[in-house]
Amino acid sequence: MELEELKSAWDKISSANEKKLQLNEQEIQSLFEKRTLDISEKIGRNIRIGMIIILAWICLWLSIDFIINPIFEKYVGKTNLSDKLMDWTFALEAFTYLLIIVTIVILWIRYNRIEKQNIHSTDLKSKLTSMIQILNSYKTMFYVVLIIILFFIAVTFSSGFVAGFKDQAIKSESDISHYSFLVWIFIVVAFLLTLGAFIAVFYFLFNLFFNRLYGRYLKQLKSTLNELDEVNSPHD
Amino acid sequence: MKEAFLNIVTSNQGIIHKVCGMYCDTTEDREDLFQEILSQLWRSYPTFRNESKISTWMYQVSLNTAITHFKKNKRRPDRNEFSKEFFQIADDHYDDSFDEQVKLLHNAIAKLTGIEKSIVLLYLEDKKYEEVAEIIGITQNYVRVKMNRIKGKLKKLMGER
Repeated sequence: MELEELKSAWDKISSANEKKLQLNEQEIQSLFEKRTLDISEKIGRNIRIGMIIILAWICLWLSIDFIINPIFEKYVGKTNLSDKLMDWTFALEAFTYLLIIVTIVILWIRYNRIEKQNIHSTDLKSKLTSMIQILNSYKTMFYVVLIIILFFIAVTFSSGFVAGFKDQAIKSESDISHYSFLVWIFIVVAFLLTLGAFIAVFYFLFNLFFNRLYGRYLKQLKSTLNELDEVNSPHD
Repeated sequence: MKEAFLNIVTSNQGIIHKVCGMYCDTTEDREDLFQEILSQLWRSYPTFRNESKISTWMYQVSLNTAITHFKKNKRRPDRNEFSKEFFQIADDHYDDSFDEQVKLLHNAIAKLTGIEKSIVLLYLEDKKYEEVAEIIGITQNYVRVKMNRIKGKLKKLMGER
């Protein structure tokens, strides 16, 4: 089949579809009213939702620590964990939330700057570049928040493990200073394996989630931009 | 402003249908893309100052949107088969040989990249290299080089059948 035949096939399809798919102004208006968000607007919405979730979570955490826990302790008694450990965990948690908020705010500022620059652009290269920048920033924010959370999990898990271990030793009246080197190796390895497996699963799931959602799309945008940039290649 | 916009879109909707037919596999995808194009046209409408032709502006926005369109991850029966409904017209009005031509056409086009599809669409629409370059935002020389490559690719793809 020659290209001219291809052209004539296209002409026939186009003219037939012109009648078949023709919409009147009311139908177009109804589609227009139901218009959806594009990917950039969806990311903007996700950042806002992320911020609301983290603020709601902080409110919940503060109300548990300052309202619910004191009431609970009146009836059940204080936990076995020392005040020092509790204060330290509280400070670490506050620091974690602060880091997450700062990360989201930085992304929000960056997102708005990119959006404002290219919002009306009809140039494909500018559009591709701004979308890649937005997605890359979103990806960076996603992984920074993930690392902060994983770090927090690792630290709280470790402190919980050490406190629990000490508590058990006191309860069973065993003298941990008499443990052999091999026993200590076993304890440390078991601890690292549990922590490592937990972090690996957590990281794997979040990584999979992001890649399934935007990974392929980001690759596609980058390859389109590279294709467009071929114009500068000396091989052309 | 909204009325004038809807008027322009209604009179030139053929452009959007062609772009959607070229880029989408399913009716659902086509509707999604149609809505996104409408939305992008509306967003860029305030900056349209009649410096270029309405059709050029509409092709520009529609093709940019189609090339950067985010398809939801859904299971689809066959991603290599091109949009059925858009090309189904052959079954209603034309003979078997035409039907075969159409199958060849859309299966070959389905294997092109986003930018290649846009150049082919404009070529099939008889646009001059100058206008193709303006719409896609590349040089005329690049359009020429790219078009020659695409012709070769299409011939090869159609020859494989």
